[in-house]
Amino acid sequence: MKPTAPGLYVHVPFCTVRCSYCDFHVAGYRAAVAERYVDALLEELAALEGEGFRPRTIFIGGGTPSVLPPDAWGRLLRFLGRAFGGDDLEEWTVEANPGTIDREKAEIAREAGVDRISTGAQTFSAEGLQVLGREHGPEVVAGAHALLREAGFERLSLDLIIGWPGQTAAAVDEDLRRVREIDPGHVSLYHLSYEEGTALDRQRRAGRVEPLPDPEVITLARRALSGLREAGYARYEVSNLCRSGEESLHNLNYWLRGGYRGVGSGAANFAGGARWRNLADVGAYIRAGGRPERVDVEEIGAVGALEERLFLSLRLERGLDIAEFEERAGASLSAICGDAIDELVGDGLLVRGTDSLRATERGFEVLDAVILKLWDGCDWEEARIDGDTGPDDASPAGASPRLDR
Amino acid sequence: MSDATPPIPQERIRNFSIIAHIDHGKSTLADRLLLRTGTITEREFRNQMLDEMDLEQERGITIKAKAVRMIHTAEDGLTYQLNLIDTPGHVDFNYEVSRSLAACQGALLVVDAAQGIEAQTVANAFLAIEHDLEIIPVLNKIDLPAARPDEVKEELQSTFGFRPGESIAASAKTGVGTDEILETVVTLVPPPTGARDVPLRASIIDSHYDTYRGVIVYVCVKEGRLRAGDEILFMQKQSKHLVDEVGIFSPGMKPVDALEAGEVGYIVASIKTIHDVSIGDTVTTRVAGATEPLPGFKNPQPMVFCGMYPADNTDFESLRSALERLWLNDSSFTFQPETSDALGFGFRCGFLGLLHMEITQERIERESGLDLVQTAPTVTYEILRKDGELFKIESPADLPDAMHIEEIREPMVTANLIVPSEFIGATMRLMEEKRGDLQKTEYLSPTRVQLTYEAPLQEIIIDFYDKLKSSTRGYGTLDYQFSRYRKGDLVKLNILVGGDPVDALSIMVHRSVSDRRGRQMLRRLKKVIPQHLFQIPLQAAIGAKVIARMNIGALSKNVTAKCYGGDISRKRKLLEKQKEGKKRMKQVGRVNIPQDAFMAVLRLDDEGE
Ligand SMILES: Nc1nc2c(ncn2[C@@H]2O[C@H](COP(=O)(O)OP(=O)(O)OP(=O)(O)O)[C@@H](O)[C@H]2O)c(=O)[nH]1
Ligand code: SF4
Ligand SMILES: [Mg+2]
Repeated sequence: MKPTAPGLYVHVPFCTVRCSYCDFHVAGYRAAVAERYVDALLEELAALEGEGFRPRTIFIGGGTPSVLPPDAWGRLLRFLGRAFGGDDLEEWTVEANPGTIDREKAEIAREAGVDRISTGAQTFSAEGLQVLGREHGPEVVAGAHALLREAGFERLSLDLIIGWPGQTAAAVDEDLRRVREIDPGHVSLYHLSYEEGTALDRQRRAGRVEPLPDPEVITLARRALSGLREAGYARYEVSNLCRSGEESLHNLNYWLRGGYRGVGSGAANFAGGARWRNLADVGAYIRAGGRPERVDVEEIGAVGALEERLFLSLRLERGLDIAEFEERAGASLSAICGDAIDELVGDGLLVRGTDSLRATERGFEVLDAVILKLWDGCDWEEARIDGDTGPDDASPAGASPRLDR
Repeated sequence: MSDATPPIPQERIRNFSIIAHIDHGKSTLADRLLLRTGTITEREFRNQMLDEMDLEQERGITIKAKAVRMIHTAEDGLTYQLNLIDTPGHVDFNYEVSRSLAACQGALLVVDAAQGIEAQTVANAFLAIEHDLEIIPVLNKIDLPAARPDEVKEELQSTFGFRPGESIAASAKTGVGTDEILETVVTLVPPPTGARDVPLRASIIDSHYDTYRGVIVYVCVKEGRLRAGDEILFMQKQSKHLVDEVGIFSPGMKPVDALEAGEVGYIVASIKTIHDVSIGDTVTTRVAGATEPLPGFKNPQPMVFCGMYPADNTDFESLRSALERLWLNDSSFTFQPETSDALGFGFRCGFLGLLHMEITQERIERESGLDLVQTAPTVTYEILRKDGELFKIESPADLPDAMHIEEIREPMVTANLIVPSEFIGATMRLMEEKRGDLQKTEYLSPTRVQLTYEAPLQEIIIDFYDKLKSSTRGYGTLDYQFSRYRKGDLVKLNILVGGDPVDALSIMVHRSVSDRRGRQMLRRLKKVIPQHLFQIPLQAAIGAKVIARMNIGALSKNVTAKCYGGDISRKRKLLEKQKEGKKRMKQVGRVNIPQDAFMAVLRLDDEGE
């Protein structure tokens, strides 16, 4: 198996209610709009199929893909299965929110070829769900997982959010207990952040919610992490854990700097040395009928590619493959950023082995600052760069983008 | 009013300044006079019209003196040329008042009828008396319900000897008294005396830089006349120029045929280099000019110094030209290059006080668009070395090793405080805390007292004004002048960040308060320096002895959890932005210190204690 291969991301930007912390590209759900949106998705997907694009992984994310009405849901999944469901496809994930997935939709998905479902539980505390502005109650999640298992899904993932205002150690323990009970193969553990423009951030500014101080969040995060480890999960990325062999191939591909195409409003793409997104505007997307406007088109360049590799790989438990990096850079890692690495190693934030450079437990907690330090300390003059800037897989010829500027 | 009007004979020219304590209404009274004489129309009018700088309007204070020519027909039916100079009230800008008075024969001494005589009323009135001017007391703001004109008249009599009948009751707000003021100026203020048919002698009183027309020089013509087409000579600089235009302020720049003895106006002469101009220089004609220059101004001696550095080190040269340009318009500050380990290349700048410092910094930032980092202000100290050498230092960094020092002497001032008598006790306690020695107590009226102290300048400029206000419920006012250098028990307080001394954070303090100051500074730094990936020890030390310590804990959490496909570009941009932000910080050892930190330690109040 090649470490990286192109992925396909499909964005379904609809939610019935907006969670208080959410700053994703999301629109309010209206059945009629969703139907037309799926029409446009199918057109964009058809064009991609026509290019000869064949993904190794598919990920349908949102928003809440499972909010789609059964008919649209069926049309989308069946199309994907027919177009891309060949032997190349190794993993196909759909995000589902507990409460919007039912037996009918689960069976449609199963039949189409979906083999992995990721659910947003966030927490099992009623109080937590309320601050987070989640629609579902604590009981629904277990029900949804049971239903999915019954429908034949073996690969299940569950998201947890850590550090919500008012969260206690007891609440973390309760979440851990529920996770053990449900027993998904994969768990994502995200720190709550207060993004500008979200309801939660407005409440914070208005003094109506009191964020937990950072050290407390870290204490809770450590508790959650060690609880999950005790339950047999291992961290493979800064915020993702799984049982052996249960990594999300699709997400791993991002971090290994593999290429991917994204369809749908606001979807991000990386192919042929460039990154771009579709314009994030549901109305415009529908009107564009499968040819959405590309925005933020960016040629990454040789240095940019190395920088990305550095910061993406440090998110992984396995870290940066030094030999591979040096080969691409045409210079030794030490020559490029030895001083910064020494400092960070000295501060106990990175470990440098013979083969890899990795974050320590503590390093993961302050990873952004570690990466900034490293990024800032890089001297690319040293690198002898050969100009290979594209994704690390050789994307099929047909998938190279025509950049509509 | 324009060059078309027939020239007005010298005996019908009146030059006068408006002087007062801060906020007693000088600029508002000037507005009133401008309107009344038709110099400006109601349509052109805005409040405190002569406060042209945005900064002046925003802060509601006058920073620079401003001259305006008005034409007025008096009760005798004759037309007079009235040249008014509005002056600033704040003590820092006192030299502007002296300079204005030098161009005048009279002064309107404005006193707020509710507040009464305050510290700068006294200081400015004595300046006018020294210049031998005709002083017309004006009781302003009599429209206020709190006005107490009779008591204030009594204060005027006991302080300066003005008879009650001599002062004019006025309101710059309602216009009451305006005509009486104009008439009194016409009858009491003598005309200027300089002869017109002699070689030109004009003194340069100010200037500003105009991108298109070069340096525009403001002059007060003492003798002779000046016109467009004249070839002129700046006697001290020995630079020669051809005059393109002469004009007056009315209040905007307005060309005239000639500036005659006794008049104030401007010269445009394509002066491209600012080095050709020096305030106080004498202008004469190149041919058949005067041989003796006028007595120059004595430039005020800056007493407060701070470092000014460009936030971005590559802007050093831009900062230099910004300082040079501003200096044309304010020759009372000084600057010379200095370097700092923490801040790189910058300038040590001297000012007349803290407000002057603040205003200058803001003007530079506005007029040049540069971002500045400023270090804590310090006064000058006189150092007597063991080997007998005596010299002054303008920066704590220049203090020699303790083993070479015999004495450190600090500048002392004579401080005049005027307070209502009920606050004498509180004021005395404050002055004791500030190491002041009481020298004199005088009652201006049964309820108002003037206390004269000798006190260290350092104590008077830093963190004093607010305390005086709170000790006297807002009524106390202060004026001070330098008196002498006196030996003091002074030490240099060094700040160490991450174990490294930060030169730009050193300050001089009296030993008795060094512990407290040290702790205050560390507390401030702790607030402004962001957490790093490691713990940062902060220390305050005198010599090798650490007198206070504190830690900035290591960053506990900084991680963006979610990073799905689309986030990679966003994440890159975020990193690039943060990297830019880091560039603007100053690095000391491994610690990045934000620019604010250098300013934050300026504020030394007791917050948090
Ligand atoms: N009620 C009343 N207020 C006045 C009068 N004259 C001035 N003021 C107010 O007093 C304040 C200060 O007036 P300014 O004219 O700026 O005082 P100034 O003496 O020029 O102040 P500096 O230039 O800073 O020394 C302003 O808010 C004016 O509106 C007056 O006759 N009556
Ligand atoms: S379900 Fe997800 S995408 Fe929808 S509002 Fe909540 S957090 Fe945002
Ligand atoms: Mg004023």
